[in-house]
Amino acid sequence: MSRFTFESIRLPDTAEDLRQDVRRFLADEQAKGGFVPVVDSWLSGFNPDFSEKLGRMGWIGMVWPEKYGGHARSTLERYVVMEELLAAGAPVGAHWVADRQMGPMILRHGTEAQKERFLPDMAKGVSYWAIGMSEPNAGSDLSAAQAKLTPDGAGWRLSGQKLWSSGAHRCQYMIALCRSGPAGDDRHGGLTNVIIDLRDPAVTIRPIYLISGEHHFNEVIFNDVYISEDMVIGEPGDGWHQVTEELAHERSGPERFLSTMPLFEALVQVTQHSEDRYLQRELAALASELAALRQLSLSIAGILEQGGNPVVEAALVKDAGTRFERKVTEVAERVLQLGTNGEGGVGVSDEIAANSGIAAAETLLAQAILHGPGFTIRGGTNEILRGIVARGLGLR
Amino acid sequence: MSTTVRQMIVETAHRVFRDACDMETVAQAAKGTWPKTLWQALAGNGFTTLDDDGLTWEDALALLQVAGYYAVPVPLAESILASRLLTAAGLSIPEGVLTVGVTPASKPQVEHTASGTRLSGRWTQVAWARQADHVVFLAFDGDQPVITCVDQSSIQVTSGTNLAGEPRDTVVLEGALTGDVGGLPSPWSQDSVRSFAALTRVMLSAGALERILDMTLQYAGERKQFGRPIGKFQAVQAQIAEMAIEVAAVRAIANLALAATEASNDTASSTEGAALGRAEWTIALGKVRLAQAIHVSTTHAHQVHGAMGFTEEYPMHHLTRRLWAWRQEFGNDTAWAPSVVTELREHGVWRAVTGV
Ligand SMILES: Cc1cc2nc3c(=O)[nH]c(=O)nc-3n(C[C@H](O)[C@H](O)[C@H](O)COP(=O)(O)OP(=O)(O)OC[C@H]3O[C@@H](n4cnc5c(N)ncnc54)[C@H](O)[C@@H]3O)c2cc1C
Repeated sequence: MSRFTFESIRLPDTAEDLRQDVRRFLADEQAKGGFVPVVDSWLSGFNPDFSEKLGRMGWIGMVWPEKYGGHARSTLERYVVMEELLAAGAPVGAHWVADRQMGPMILRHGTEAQKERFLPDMAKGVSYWAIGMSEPNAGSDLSAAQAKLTPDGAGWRLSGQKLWSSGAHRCQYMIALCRSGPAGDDRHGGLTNVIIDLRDPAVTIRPIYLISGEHHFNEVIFNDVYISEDMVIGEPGDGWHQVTEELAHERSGPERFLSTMPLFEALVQVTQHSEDRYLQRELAALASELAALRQLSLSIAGILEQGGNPVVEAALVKDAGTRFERKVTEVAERVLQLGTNGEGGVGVSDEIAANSGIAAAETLLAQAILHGPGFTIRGGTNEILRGIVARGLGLR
Repeated sequence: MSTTVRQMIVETAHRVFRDACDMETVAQAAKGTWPKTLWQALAGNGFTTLDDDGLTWEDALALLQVAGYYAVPVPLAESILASRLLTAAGLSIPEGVLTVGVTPASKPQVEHTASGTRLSGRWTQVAWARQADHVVFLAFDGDQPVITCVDQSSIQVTSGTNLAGEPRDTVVLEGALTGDVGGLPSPWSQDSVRSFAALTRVMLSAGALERILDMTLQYAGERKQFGRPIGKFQAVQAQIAEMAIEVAAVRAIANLALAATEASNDTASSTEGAALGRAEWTIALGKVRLAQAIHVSTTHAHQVHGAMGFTEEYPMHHLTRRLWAWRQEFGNDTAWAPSVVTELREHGVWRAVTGV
């Protein structure tokens, strides 16, 4: 029988109250023109003003200790805030990585000085961080990372390159997985995470444009960057362990099935009056998939709350979640037609075309199509994730 | 209710089913043999009907997941549903094998005559009607939906089967004498009954999906080609990983529906309508989610088993055929979609999903 831990979670009343606060805040912001919902807002919605507002609301670093600027809230309360922000398509991209990954990593493995120095600004929503894992020849296989650390006095010198660094051109810091020694038999040795100040003149950041024309990715080149001792996370050589733990955080959140929520909402709105049975079945199938994913994801939040490390469960949900996001796009593609100035898709055209929300829906669809290829790649490809699930099932 | 009690019931159920419901029993039943010992074992453990001091409706729903895992070839789901309906209508539960007719072909009527209450109508999909000592029917007294129970001696049965070879009979009554008649409690409607019937299929299927995953995993670990177990091949692993998410997803929705059903029973009457609506919505979600899970899981399960899984001698078909049948029974995904979509349209997707 059941091989994975997916206990049902009932959210505490405090979390549900908080949800209403977040919804009120978001409705206000949207009414004021503070943001326009977009697809994939946690990646493309880089908005420092908005992040700072969230910081003031106490909605960043929610579960961190108060002495580091955190708010000592529960994981489930944090979960509710995240899902509300994502579902609304709010521009959370600036602080997302710091809040989700880099803050927790420093909290777990950083020195006291690092915690005091970096966490409070992250929690205020004014400090933005990039992830430096991937390299040209180390994507799915991170143990192949080559960016090289060479000892220099008490510190290190860093040479090499990172690739696909999201938002690095707008971030102040990056945590990079680097090679400080030989890989060893299990290929997991000799890796070290270091903090890099991206404003260092020895760092070069070159844009890589997305197919949408957006500047999101970067190539980050380290030209003999000096890394002082106090910028190393944990002990040199501990990088693999830290990074796998980090990936569980990176993979387990609701962003892996909520990237296309604004499109899904818009699709339901513009098809409000369609009697078409097959269209309704498609929408119902998406809703049922979403509801199941949310329950599974909530139960992962529950495991994290209890201090567990749900690596396999997170892989399972991320794989299914990103495939769901692609399906939302696919259904919308079947129903809407792009660039026809409000003339809807075949079969439901008149009803849909008459809907005033059609232009917004088409814009969201365009965003979803152009961002779609990334959904099943970022944070570990679905093929890699299925390997993790297969191991969890005892097949490897 | 206490989850530990439910846990205990589920564990006991596993033991009982493992002993009394092996694949040979299921295979014999598929050939038309009534598994008397199995029914007695289930009845003896108090699994077949609800009971003030024993099995609650929600416990029974959890129990159905276990029953589905073992492809139970008796009208257990129907007996449980029948006793839920009888209890709700304030009627007593008779002894013996019990089933339900809740899919009326037209609008069956009760008539109060000098010689007693009489019932006329036609019901389809009545599971094991030919075997039941009593059949509980959904009918109408004028426009009011009512529940009533009829003795075997008064019913005529036309035999039919579903895709899995399970009896799904048609019952026609023409002025048959019936016992007491009870109305559905407020705020239940005829649709609530249809929802609860569908819920039994969601629960049974959740268990059956789990079983075919287990069987497939075991097979992939044992069957060798090219000198290694086929489960070592990445393409096979990917198919099984996909099955695993389908199983987890259905279980998540089944649990959600169970919790919502429970909440609709616990809630004070002023909000009962809303709580029942929520329960019915999650059940509709479950029926719709099931469709994909069954499609993906049965396809992959048969593929991984190769030609072996396509034979009568290999027992997996008892599960996969039931899944294909259960997907259809009490409404398939196309039938349930409008109930799901109405809520999305009224409240928006996210509010509907979060329930607030
Ligand atoms: C939108 C987006 C944002 C990103 N942001 C960042 C970031 O901020 N920081 C960062 O470090 N990285 C980032 N990445 C990079 C991302 O983590 C990598 O792209 C990903 O890990 C895959 O690596 P790759 O692109 O080198 O593909 P490869 O590893 O070369 O894979 C190519 C294909 O081969 C398959 N494959 C590879 N190995 C196996 C195997 N063992 N079994 C089966 N199939 C296999 C893969 O599944 C894939 O389909 C981002 C990527 C995207 C799309």
